[in-house]
Amino acid sequence: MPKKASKKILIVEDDKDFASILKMKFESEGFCVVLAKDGQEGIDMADSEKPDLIFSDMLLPRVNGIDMAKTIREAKNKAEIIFLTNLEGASYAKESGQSEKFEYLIKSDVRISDIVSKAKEKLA
Amino acid sequence: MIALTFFQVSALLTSFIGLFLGIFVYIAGDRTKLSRSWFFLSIMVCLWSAGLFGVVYSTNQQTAWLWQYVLDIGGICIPVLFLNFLLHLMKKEKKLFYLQMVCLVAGASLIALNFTDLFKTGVSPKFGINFWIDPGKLYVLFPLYFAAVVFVCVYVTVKDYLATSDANYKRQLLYVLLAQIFGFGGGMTDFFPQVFNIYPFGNYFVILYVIFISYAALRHHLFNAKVIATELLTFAIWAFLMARTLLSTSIDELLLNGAILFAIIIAGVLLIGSVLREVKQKEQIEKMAKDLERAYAVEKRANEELQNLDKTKNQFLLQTQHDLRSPLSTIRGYCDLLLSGTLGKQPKKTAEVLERIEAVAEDKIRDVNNFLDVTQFRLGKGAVNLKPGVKIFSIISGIAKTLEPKCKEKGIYLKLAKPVQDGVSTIEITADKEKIKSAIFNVVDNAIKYTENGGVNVDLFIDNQKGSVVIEIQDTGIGIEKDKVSSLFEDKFERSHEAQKMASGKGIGLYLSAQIVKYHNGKIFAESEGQGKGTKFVIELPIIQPQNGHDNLKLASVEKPGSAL
Repeated sequence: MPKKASKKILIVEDDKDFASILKMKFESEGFCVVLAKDGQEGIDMADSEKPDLIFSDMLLPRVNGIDMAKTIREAKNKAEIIFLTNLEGASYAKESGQSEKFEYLIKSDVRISDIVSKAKEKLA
Repeated sequence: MIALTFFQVSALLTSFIGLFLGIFVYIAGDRTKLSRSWFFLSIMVCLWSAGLFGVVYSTNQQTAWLWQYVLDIGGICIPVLFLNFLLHLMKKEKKLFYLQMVCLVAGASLIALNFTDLFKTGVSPKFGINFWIDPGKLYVLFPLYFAAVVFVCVYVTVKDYLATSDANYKRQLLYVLLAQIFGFGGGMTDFFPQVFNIYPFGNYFVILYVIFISYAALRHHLFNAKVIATELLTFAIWAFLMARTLLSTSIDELLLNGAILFAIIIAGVLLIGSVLREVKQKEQIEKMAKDLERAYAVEKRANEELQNLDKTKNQFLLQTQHDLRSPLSTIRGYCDLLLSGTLGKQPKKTAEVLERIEAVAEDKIRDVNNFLDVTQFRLGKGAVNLKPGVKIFSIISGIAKTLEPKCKEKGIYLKLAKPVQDGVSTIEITADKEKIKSAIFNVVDNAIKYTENGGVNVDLFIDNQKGSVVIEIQDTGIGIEKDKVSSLFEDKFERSHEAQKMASGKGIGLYLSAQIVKYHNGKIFAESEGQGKGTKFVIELPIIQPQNGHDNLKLASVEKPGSAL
C-alpha cells in the first residue's frame, strides 16, 4: 500500500476485547482507527471523524447497528458499512428486512486477518 | 251393544293418549324435571279423562259416583300440575315458588272439599248423557279455582313469550299456549252443564292439547323429538284402531278390528323400542365424540406447552452458545494478533504455545458452531446464506490443510487428489461458504476419527450431466455394516442417551452435514463394504441453485462498485 495519508476506519463495537484486537490489528497494518462503543456514538463519530470505512456490530446499546447505518446513510456519508455480527444478528437483520442492504461478516467464521483483507479490498 | 257415543270415545282417547304420552316421554326422555313434571300431568289428564269416561259410560249410579271422584280429583290436579310443567319449562320453578304453593294449597283444599256434599250431591242423567254431576253449594269454587290457575298459566306463558328473544323457545311457548287454550278451554266446558246448564261441547277439544304439545316437541325439540314422533305416529294408529274397535257394530268386525289392533300394538312397541335404542346409541356416540373432543383439546394444550418448553430450551441453548463463543473468539483473536506479529515477533516456544491455544479455541468454536447450527436447524431457521462464487476446491484444500496436523499425529495420511478434470480447481458454486465448509469438514473429520491405519483420500470432480460437483471422501477405517449406513446422518442428539457427550457438539457432525447439504439442494450418502472395509462418503452439490428451489434466506449483500473510496 502506498504511503500516503492512512485510511481511517471506524469500529463500532461494545465488546471491548474484540474492539481492541481489531484496533491493534488495523493499526499494525497502517490504518488509523477510531472506536465507538454504541450506535449513537457511531453516528456522531461517523459525522465528526469522516472515516473511510465502518465496521460495526449489529446488536448495540442505545441505537442498534441497522438504525445507526440508516442514519449514517441518510446523512449522505459515503463510508461503506460492514457489519461484524454473530448469527443472531444475522437473523435479526433478516427479520427486520434489512439484510439485503448491507454487507456483513460473521464474527466466529472469520479470522481477524480476514477482516483486514476485507478492509483492504474495500479501500483498494 | 258396545256402541259408544262420540263423547265417550273422545274421553277414552284423551285418557289413553294422556297415559301413553306421559309414560313414553318419561321413559324415552332424559328424565329431567321437565319430563317428570310432564309425566305427572299426563297421568292426571289420563285419570280425569278415565273418570269422565267412567261417569258417562256407567249404567248404574253407584259406579258413576265412584268415577266422579276420579274425575274431580284429576280435574283439580291438572291445572296445578300444568303450572308446574310450565315453570319447569321456563326454568322459573324457584322464582315463582310461592305462586305455585298458593295454587297447590287451593287445589289441596278443593280435594278435601270434594269429599263433602258442599262440593257435589250426586250424579244424574243430563243432556242424554248417562250420568253427570249434581253440584253442591260450594261447587262453584272449583271452576273459579280452575279459571284462576289457568289464567296464571296463560299469563306467565304470554309474559315469557313476549320477553324472550330465542326464536325456538318462542315457538315452543306459542304451541304450549295453544295447548292451554284448547286443552283448558275445552276442559272448562265440562263445567257448563252444572254451572250454566249447557252441554259440555268443548270436551272434544281437550285432545288438541296433545297435538300442540306434540308439535312443539317435534318441531321445536320440547322433548326428544325423534322418539316422540315415532310414539305419536304409533299412538295415532292405535287410537284410530281402538276407536274403530270400540265403535264396531258386529262381533265379526270387533274381532277383526281387535286382531289388527293387537298386531299393530306389538309392531308399535317393537318400533318404539328400536327407535329408543337408536336414540340411545346416538346419544352415546355424541357423548363419545364430546369426550374425544375434550381429550383432543387436552392433548393439544399439552402439545403446545411442550412446544413452548422446547422453544424456551432452544433459545436458552442459543444464548449459551453465544456466551460461549464470544470469549472463544476473543481468545482466538488475541492469539491471531500475537502470532501475526502485530505486536512484534514472538519467540519460537511462545509461538508454539500460542498456536496450541489458538487450535483449542478454534476446535471449541467449531463445536459450539456445530451445536448452534443444529439448534438453528431444529428451530427451523435453516439459515443458509447462498451466494454464487464459492470456490469449492480451495475450501477443500483449506480443510485438508487444517486437518493435516491431526492426521500426522495419528500416523495416517490425508490426500487431496490432484484434479484431473479441467476446471475443477477453479469451479465456483452457489453455496453458503462457511456452512458448506463445516459440512465437508465434519465428514472429513469423521473419516479421520474412525481410521487408525492407512488414511483418507479426498477427491473432487464435476458431474456435467447433473450439473453438480461431487466430493468423495474415502477412508480405510473401520467401515460400517450396510444396514446401518443410512443411520449415520440421523439426529443422534435427539435420540441419544449420551446427551452429555453430545453437549460438546461432537457426534452431531454428520447430521449437521446432512442438514446443510439438504439446504443446498444437494445429496449426501455413504457406502461401505462392511466392517473393517472402510467407508466412502459422497457429497453432491448443485453448481447453480435451482430458481425458487428453496426458500432459504438469501442474505446476499448488495455490493456497490462506486461506494468504496
